[in-house]
Amino acid sequence: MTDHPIDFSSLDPRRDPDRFDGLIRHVVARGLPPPVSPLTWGLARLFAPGFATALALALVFGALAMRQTVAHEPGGDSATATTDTGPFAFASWAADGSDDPWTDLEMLRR
Amino acid sequence: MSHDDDRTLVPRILDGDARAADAFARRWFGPCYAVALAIVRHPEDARDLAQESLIKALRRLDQLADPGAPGPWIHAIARNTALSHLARARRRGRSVDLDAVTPIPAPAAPDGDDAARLVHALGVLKENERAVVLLHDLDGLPHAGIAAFLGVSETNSRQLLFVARKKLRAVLRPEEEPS
Repeated sequence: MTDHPIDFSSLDPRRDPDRFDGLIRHVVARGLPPPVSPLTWGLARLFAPGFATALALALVFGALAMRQTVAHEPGGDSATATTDTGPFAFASWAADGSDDPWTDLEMLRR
Repeated sequence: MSHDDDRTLVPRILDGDARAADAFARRWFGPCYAVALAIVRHPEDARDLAQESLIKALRRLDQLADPGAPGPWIHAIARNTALSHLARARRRGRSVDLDAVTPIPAPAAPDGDDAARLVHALGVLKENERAVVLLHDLDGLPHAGIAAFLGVSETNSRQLLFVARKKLRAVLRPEEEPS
């Protein structure tokens, strides 16, 4: 008797083909990513390099802006602020004891 | 359906072929349902869990290591989905005592009652026995397919089926079994 299969047909969801087809359609609709239209692909390919460049520039400028902000904060890196930017850079000779750049200019004029 | 079919279906699904996804879902619904039913022992929940497992499988298909043998991978998804469902049900306080089996009356019953009798009878089995008998007798999977899907040997699959059928018949038709 144990060689004969047990009749589980009353438990089989495939007994109702319409409902089963609906179930499979639901699985495919939710499981498969929606198809991308050729127009979308074309636009994506056209603008992808521009987007990539803009993203890279945004990252670079963002990082620079963040660095400047940190440097100008009260607890920031004041050494960087005084030596890297504006008139401080030109007058750094006075701070670190190197030659006065005006002296070099005077020598060239002669 | 052979492994070659899976091997060709998977790349087509990854390319967005809905017909391939349909064939894949129809092929693997039965095994997912059998595994879910073996764990939750509730046909409606098992159907929903099989559906959920197949959606997960389709969405994660790019993670499948061997497109020619997705069985063990799908089995893991189906089993984890069903076990998560049980854990959620336990947290909600819903009764999910799978070992609580009440004697089932033997008389023949209408179709709905037949399903209920079968579900209750499945309670006498261990989870792996339930999975094997459902995969074989409900889904029609051969022992080689069951062995590959569940990660057991074919001999083990045959033994589990023999034991499962014997236990089920004892519960469903006690008068036919020797004491």
